[in-house]
Amino acid sequence: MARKEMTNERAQSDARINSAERGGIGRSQIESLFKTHYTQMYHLALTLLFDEAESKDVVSDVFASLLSGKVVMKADNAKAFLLASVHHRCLNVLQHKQVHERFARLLTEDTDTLVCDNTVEEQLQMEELMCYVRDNLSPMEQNVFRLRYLREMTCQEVAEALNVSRQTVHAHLKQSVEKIRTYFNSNSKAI
Amino acid sequence: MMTEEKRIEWLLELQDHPEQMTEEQLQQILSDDEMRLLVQQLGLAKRAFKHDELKNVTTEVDAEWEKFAACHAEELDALDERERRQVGDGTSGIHKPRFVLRLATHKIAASFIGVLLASGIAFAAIQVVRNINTPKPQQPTTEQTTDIDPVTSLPADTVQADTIPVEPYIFNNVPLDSMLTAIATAHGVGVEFENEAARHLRFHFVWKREDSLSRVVEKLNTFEAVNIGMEDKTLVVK
Repeated sequence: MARKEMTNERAQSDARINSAERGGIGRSQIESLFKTHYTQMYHLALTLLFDEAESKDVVSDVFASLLSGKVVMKADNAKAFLLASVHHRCLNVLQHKQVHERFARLLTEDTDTLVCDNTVEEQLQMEELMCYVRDNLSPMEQNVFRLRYLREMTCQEVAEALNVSRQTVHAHLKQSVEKIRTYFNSNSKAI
Repeated sequence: MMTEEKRIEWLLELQDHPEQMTEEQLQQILSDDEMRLLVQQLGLAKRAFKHDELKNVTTEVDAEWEKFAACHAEELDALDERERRQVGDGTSGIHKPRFVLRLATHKIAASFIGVLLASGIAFAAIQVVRNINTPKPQQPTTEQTTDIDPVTSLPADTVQADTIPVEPYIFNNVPLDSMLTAIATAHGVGVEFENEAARHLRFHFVWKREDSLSRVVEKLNTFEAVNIGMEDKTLVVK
């Protein structure tokens, strides 16, 4: 359903449809949609782009397109539609980034693997992985992974921040990566 | 055929110095299916970490709505107008006051944004002046050696005679968010941002790791834009 709406969004960018003719949404509905779904939409964008300003822009753009009447949304699946729109726009932003940046920052490398519109399933997958991380990675390994990839510090910076040698950071990071790799291999998690 | 261990080693090395590769070389590396899969799996792990972290973060939805409403005031007013017309003349009297009230809230929102913008510009100007006054070091290592000398005169009671001095770490134009996380992790405490906007403030700060946490916080608080408190093993940014 969500996929269908998403293709709708693409197709309608040139074939503008006046939402008023279809009994379009009013200000109060926009406000209520915004306040109900903003957090989830913003968080989804953040887990793809890892940049607060870019993520806010994406969510804002989705609501702006609703306002402009370029996109028509059915009220019965508002949440799925809004999340799919965020997903789609984030992938567009990612596609325009340099391969280097995507590689160094571990941004979703191949957009083909991420057309999964089912954000609920994706979130379950991430929560399952985090359960494994909490059970199998030491607090230090988790910390090093967090500083290196989420805070985007270099190994040298992590080493200096934690007051350990660069080799120690490297060893912890390698351990974390190996364990994460084991998780995917043992569960044969297709991504 | 590359072993798993070698592949991971290689990936970590490449990610630390992505600028050393050309786009073509990188494409070639990623054309290896196993390498590509590894990067994707780590990408998902990064997303999972972020997803987990966001559970404890509250978003200021009302403030975001106010911003959005102010940016799209015209379109929203047009929607109001249309709603009013659709209801018809008989009931339009009821809607009119609401419309006027909304216009008034827009004006309030717009003036707030004006004030915020003005203070933002003023703050940016202060930052620019500060940056000019404190030229950025090209080589952090050279600055370390020049910086240490004048400040080694720490109070005698805090430095024991047999302590080996630790080199200070220089945060050069680093967001407060990353800086505090690093400092807090080193001291085994948490960080909480009550003031979300402060996350992105960037500073040049010399962190002397032999300093106690309260001393570091005291130094950070000398920046006028920062107000950090210590509450129950957590640094709270107000």
